[in-house]
Amino acid sequence: MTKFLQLASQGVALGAVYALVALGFVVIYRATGVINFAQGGLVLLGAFLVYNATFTWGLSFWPAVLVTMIMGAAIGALFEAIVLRRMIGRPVYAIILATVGLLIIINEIVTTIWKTPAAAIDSPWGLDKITVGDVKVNQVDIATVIVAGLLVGTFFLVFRYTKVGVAMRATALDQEAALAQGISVRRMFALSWAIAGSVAVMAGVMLGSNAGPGIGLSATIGLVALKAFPAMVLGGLDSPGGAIVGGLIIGLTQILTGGYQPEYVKFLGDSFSDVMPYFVMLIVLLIRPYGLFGSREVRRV
Amino acid sequence: MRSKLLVKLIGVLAILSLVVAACGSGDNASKSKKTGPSAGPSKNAGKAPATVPGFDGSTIKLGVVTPLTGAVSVISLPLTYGSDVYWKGVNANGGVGGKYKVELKEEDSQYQTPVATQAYDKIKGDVVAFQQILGTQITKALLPKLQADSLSAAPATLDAEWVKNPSLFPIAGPYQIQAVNSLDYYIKNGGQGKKICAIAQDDEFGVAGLQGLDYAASKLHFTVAKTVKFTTVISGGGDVTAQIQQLSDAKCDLVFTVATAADASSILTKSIALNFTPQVIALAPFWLSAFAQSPALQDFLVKHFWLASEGSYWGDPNIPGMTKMLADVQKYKPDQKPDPYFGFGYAQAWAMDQILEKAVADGDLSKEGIQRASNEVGTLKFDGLTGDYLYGSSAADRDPPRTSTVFKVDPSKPAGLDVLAPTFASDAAKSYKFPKA
Amino acid sequence: MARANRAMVRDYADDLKLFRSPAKRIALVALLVAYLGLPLVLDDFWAGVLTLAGITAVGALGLNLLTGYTGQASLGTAFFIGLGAFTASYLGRASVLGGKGMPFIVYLVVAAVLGGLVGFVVGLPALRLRGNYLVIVTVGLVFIGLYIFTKWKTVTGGPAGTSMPVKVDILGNNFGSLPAGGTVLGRDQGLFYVVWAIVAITALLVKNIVRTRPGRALQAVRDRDVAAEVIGVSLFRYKVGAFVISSAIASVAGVLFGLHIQNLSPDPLVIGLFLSVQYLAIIIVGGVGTVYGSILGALLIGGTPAIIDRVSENVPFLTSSATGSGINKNVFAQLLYGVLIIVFLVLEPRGLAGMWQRAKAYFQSWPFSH
Repeated sequence: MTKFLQLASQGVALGAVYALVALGFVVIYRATGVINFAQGGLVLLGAFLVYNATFTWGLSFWPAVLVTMIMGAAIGALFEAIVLRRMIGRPVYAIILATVGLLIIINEIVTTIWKTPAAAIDSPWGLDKITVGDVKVNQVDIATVIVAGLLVGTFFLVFRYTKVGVAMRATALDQEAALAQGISVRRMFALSWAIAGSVAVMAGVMLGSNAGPGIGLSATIGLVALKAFPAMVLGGLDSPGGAIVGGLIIGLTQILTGGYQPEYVKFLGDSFSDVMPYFVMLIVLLIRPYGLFGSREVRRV
Repeated sequence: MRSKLLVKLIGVLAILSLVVAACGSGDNASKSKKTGPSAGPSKNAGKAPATVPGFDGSTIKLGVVTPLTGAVSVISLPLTYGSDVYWKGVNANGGVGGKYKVELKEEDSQYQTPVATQAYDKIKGDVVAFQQILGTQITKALLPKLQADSLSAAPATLDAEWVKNPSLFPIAGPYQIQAVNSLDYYIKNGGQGKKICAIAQDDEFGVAGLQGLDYAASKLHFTVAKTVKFTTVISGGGDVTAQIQQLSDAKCDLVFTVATAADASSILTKSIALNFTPQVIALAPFWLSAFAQSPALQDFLVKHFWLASEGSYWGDPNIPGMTKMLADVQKYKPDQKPDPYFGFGYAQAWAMDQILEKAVADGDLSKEGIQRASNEVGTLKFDGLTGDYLYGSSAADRDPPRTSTVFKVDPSKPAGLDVLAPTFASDAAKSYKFPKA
Repeated sequence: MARANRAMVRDYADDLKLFRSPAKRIALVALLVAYLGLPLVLDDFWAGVLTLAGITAVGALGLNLLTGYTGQASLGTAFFIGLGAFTASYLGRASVLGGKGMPFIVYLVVAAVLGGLVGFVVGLPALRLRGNYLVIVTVGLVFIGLYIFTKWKTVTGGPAGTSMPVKVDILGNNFGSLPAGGTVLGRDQGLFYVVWAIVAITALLVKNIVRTRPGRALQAVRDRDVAAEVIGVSLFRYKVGAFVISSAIASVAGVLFGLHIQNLSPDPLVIGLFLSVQYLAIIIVGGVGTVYGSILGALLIGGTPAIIDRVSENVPFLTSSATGSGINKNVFAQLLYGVLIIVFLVLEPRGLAGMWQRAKAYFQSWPFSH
């Protein structure tokens, strides 16, 4: 039982990381209908920028995070304004490719500028843990879950009760009607990318501080972000709540599979847990093609 | 309208540059022709070597195929700097044989076999030998080409398979030796009767490390209680929670770890997270100096971590080879941080130097001449920087150093490593037989 | 009355013609000459670059059919490349068929059929999933595929990889080491002939599909699939069919890819998501929905790193060594690749083919061009 609880807690931690990454995807998709392949790159950039802020500029942790979140927002909005603005109306794959182009550029820049960083960001949690019964939980993982929950809660409140939130929802629903109501669609797009940029920084900070898989400050953070894809799709591409649920499901599935599958279902190989998320995603999509909480697309013929 | 003009311009430029580049490639033509190695002693001994591709009478060119960018570059860059600094030192004294300067031609492999193959094809006509090829998979893929082109290469990987291959100039004790020696040390220092487990990455490197483990198990009479494998993060894995959990459940006392620096952080953090604190022995590619400086990892590393490698700690005054290397570092790259991979690259260049000296003495710097020289150089010596390597009169006679050093972690020391068990060769390591090529 | 302008189409037969104008026929002859002559003069490096460009062109043609003409965005190409390559390795192995391994034509066909079958299975969910969701499912396919390749050690050699057949026997000639004019050609020079012949055949195949009824059906599916179904275009047949054909073509490209690199392991950097993205970039930069666009795109994207390579020696801020100052030329090539993608997407949506059309139109309507 302890093993199960321990694995489950690790699964929740991993899931929270995926959820944070997926949230950034979802914000953009919900507002603009674009899948941002560069989200992983923004997470990577965020992690290294925070490291830079603490290490090179000498800021302490929270001010560094704040400054970097602003930078992340700026970068997101800038990309939207320069590139994506011109691609409105283009087919899906073209826009995806543009974000991939951004991803490539970010990857090259990050690996060139920061060649040998520290092992991890100097966070206030380090690798301290708390012990509940027999189960050990890392403080940084708890922090991740709290951050993810706070962000989703904030999104919910903002989308529901503030003018800006309602404006964003209107834009996502019907751009022309929103324009007719006086909402600046351009500003909404830029805003959603800015938010996604800051969320990416948050995700990067937690990953770089050894949350979830514990890879710390590594160029492979972007690869971890790639694994958040199934989480995002599973929950529904435009649902922030779905991102959290999807993240948790995928995280739990991955860890629990890793913990039990090698013993009980040997023929699938040692590291089946690495592809299990994609199978889960496939199965869910076959039953619900728009994910668990995604909104169905209305197609006009 | 401006964008249309710009786009047209780009198009014309692109086509022009294609044409120019294709025309310009004529002089670098290197069609692969099948030639066989020439036999018999060099008739040119004592005279100036004839010019050959890669040697123009005054400069010797050596090739380097390594990831200059990407995640693995954190290992390959210091390695390349090491060779580079060595040759700078030699060139300052006139060069090989006092007369011929050495130049490195570096190409980025991006740690991908197809890119490495392209890179190899690009420079193979311009070099007499390869100073560095990094990556077990890449080295394996390039071996048939090296053989077909009669070229030799120094591999920057320590697989036992390279030992007796005539196209390769390996140095240092292979991973299998490192494994056997470190396990021998463990058994003889309180490890007798303890539970020994292993975690290895699921690829050629993992296979090599586990080979050493199995050999040690048979010679030192212990059984491996549990072996877990994981997919590296670069290959799409990245989470080792389940694997560490399995080891923790098995209550292992020692975890023999075959992983590289890319996954080292996860393995360490997960072990700490799960309160799993066995003795850890890892092979050389695991280490990054940054780990010793990490406040979160320090405690665990100092108490429970040993690294199996060779040579001594950076700056050891008792090793003449180390002193020589540090003098060169001071002169040519004073900003170099202490790094074991730098030392390895330096030693690789040192080995190549000894072979080239012999080739120059024979008056033959052709590809075949260098291969012949490698069979005449006898024993490669490094003044203690790394173990001496017997090259013998043919590749089949080669005998690598059977020594290893076990390091412990000390954040106050350069590179974070201090010597725990200085260079020793266990009986088990001495009896290891290497496969024929 | 003077002859009708070559751009004027008067009946269906005219519309179908492949080489309508004398200029096009001259170009065809010139290309044939280049095809026969280039391998004899190219060095190993450029032969390798052009051969690889040809291989990518084959894969791009398949993907163009699927994404450009049928509108089914797919990032699964890398999986089929791997499938084709490992099929070639397994069937071409000396241990199969009594010590000699199957001949090239056989495993080429088997790989195509296998690719088509798997494409059929993958195409089925496509009927249910739309746009973005479909793309991510294809991404999942690549990862699952890599996992299967890694675990199926008997066929693929696991993480260590496997080697490819050395001899490439077609009609009695070993293209792996082809004798020509006294000397023996290098491997890539010989493969050049095989690869570009297959490019021509594939291009013809795709062009034939596209300029006739199936092609129009596919484009109808792309533009408004519900409306297409209403007018009688069977979505099942054409959506799944597009998957089948493009997967078969990608597998063929995979066979050639394996022969070219000679040694393949299930490495995600080589046959993973990055490769799929490259194919997508090629068809978009080349021009979606055009056949020659895919070939142009493959040449540009394949040739750019090679050109930067050669040019970097003369450009001051690029370096190729670890110790040089300046940007590493590979980093620069990658950056340029990313920037190129974005520039083409933003400024030239119709890609290289579009640029070519515009250049042609400019010269055709000279001196009245604008």
